[in-house]
Amino acid sequence: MASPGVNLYNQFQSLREQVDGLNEGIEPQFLQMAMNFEESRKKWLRAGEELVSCKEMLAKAETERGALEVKLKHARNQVDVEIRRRQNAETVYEKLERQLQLIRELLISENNGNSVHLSEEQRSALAFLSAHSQAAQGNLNSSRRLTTIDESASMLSDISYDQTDDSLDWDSSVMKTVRLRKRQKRRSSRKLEVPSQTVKKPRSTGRTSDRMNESIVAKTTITVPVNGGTVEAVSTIETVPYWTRSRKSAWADTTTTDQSETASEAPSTPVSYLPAQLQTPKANRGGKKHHFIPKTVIKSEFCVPCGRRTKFGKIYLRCQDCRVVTHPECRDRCPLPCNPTAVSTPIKNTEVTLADFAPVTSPKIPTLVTYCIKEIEHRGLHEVGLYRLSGHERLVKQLKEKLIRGKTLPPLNKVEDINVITGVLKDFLRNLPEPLLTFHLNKTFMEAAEIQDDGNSLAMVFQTISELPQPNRDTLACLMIHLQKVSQCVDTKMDVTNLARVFGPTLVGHAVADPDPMTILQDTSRQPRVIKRLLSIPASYWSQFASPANTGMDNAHQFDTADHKVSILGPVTTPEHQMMAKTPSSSSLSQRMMQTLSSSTIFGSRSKATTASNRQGNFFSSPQLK
Amino acid sequence: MSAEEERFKLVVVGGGGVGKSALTIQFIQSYFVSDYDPTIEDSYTKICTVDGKETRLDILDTAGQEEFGAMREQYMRSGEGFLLVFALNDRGSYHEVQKFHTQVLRVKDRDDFPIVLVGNKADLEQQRVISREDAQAFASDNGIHYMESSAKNRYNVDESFLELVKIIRRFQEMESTPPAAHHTGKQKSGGCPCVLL
Repeated sequence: MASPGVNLYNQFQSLREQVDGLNEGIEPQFLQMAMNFEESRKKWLRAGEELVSCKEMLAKAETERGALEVKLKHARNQVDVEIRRRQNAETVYEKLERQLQLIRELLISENNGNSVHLSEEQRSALAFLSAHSQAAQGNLNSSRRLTTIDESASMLSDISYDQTDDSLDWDSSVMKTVRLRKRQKRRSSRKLEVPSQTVKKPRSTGRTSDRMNESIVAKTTITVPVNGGTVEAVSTIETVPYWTRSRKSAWADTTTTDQSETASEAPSTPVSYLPAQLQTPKANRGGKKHHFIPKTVIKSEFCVPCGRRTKFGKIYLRCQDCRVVTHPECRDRCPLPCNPTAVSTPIKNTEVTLADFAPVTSPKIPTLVTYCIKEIEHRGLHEVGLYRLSGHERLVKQLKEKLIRGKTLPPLNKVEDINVITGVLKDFLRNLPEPLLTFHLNKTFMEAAEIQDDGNSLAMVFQTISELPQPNRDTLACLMIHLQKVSQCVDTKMDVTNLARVFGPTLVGHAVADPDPMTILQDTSRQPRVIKRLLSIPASYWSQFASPANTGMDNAHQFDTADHKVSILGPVTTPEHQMMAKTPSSSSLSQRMMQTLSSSTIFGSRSKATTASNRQGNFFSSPQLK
Repeated sequence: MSAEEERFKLVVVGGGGVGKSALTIQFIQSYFVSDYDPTIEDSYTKICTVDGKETRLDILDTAGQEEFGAMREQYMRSGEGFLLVFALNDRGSYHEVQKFHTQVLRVKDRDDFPIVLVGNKADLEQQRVISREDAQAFASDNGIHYMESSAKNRYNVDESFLELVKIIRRFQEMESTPPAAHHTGKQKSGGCPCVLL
């Protein structure tokens, strides 16, 4: 009896143990589980929040995308508009081209008629053409101008031009005309059939035109014999980055607005100009060509391109204009452009003015200046203290002597110390009988530079610059462009302030030849301010300033020429001539057209106002805007 | 001279960028200017004691460039002692300093004058192009004192100026000796025992 009881008890006991065991383990586990649940709940909550925020971001991004898409659409539209304009321009251009062709045919077919009749007919044809082109271009310009303003005022300003609103309205129109002209020029590559008949007596004349973007100088020399010989035309097109040749006086009245326009456009687009200036004058390959004459070596000299001596008895070449010496095989490597030396090198440099050193043709910059600058820019732009450190005085004197009086230009790469070359340049400028900024303008410059208001000050400075004699102004412009380059080279440690200080006495000088000590002291502290002002003028201003259209107040009437001449005459200087300089081409037509244009008053009337106002705007507003 | 405060006009001359201003400012204000800006003309004053005697120094820091040559005659005329500074690593400046030497003597119209030749930038030893011997030879030939200094490391800066002060004192003493022989007999009396009566 007892055994089942015990069994039962044992069973009960084991069951209790099991229950205990189960009870012990479960509670913490449940707790753990509960905690896990809690945690995961939190995670879900967080995930939910994230989801919401992500959704918000998505919405935001989507709106942004929408906005951008709208902008893109607008931008595309703008591009479309541009393309359409371009097409318009092209059609206009083609129309003009056809008309030009018509005129050519007309002239050719009328070869045998009498000259007066011909010229009148020609005139009327040209009148029609010019009127048309004017109208077309005028329309284009005005419509463009309007839409440009529209664009700039729209919400899309961030994808429009990065120019200030002030400059925008005429800037862009100007840029467009440029594009137009470039196009025209490119296209007009057909050869001209030329009548050998002559209209005028023998005449040789140069015409220069300055294309703004590449600053190309196109020069055409046309010779038309009286008695119907062959007509000879020689054209050269040079890429001279900032200086252009001035026209002969014969052309003073017949100049084309090409030049005046270019001049006025230049400051409006400083950004696009910069690369061109930075290349100067090192990169002016293909500038004015040398005019070599073979000679037999008697006294051995150094070949400029290769640096070796010319051997006795052999033939060498010497440029007639700049007297550069070269082996015949090195002729292609001669530095370009050819800088003609002064016609008569002055004997005593103490009694001569800057003008005596300068060539007779524009830009009137003494060879010494351009030559030294070229070398300094070639290897001096990393020299610490360029223009601050002094070269050996005796070497400076010797080199200067050689440069001024020597028959040949001494090779500057042989001059070891760059400071000798800078010394020569400074010495030359300093020892001119009159400072570069002249005695009588000295005071005006100083006062102009001291005006507090930047705009007014610059305006005064511009005014004063315009009163400088041409050689002084050209040389100053050349120097300023150079010094701006120097100041941009951090290696030299010569910033604008330093350069201004060093060049103050050299360029500004004093108002009298022999100042008293007090004046010297006072002036010396004022001079750098003038240079600083001059250096603050953008290089584009300086480079365009010396271009022939703007040189001299006496040439001011040149702005009377009408700009439609550009459209007619532009294409006539055909691109082939760029390739083959001095190739006799048969383009007496261009000459005749120019004559007609210059003699007829029909043409000179329209764009006077526009050119003038354009120029005005450029002349003053552009530098102030910067 | 003995009664009132002693006062000397020192002029620091030399080619462009040789460290005239650095030297002067190191002397006056005891720090090295690292800016690179050309001087036109600056003047400083410092009172210091040389050989136990207080002296007021008016120091004129000048422009090195030839461009400022017009002002040179002026300060050369008024200067009582010159520190001719060139850079040991710049041959041009060494030639320049010789020219300055001639000019000082010409303006003063004398054969000798208190001048100390200072070869600056001695810290740039590896870039040196003017040997100590050359400079010393030039100095000896012209009877002037030569020192090498470094404005950057403040080496021989004070020494150059103070040496110049001593030389000026000696020089002025000699100058004044003939008319008034024993007026200022505190220092070693020059070396000329002659007395003009």
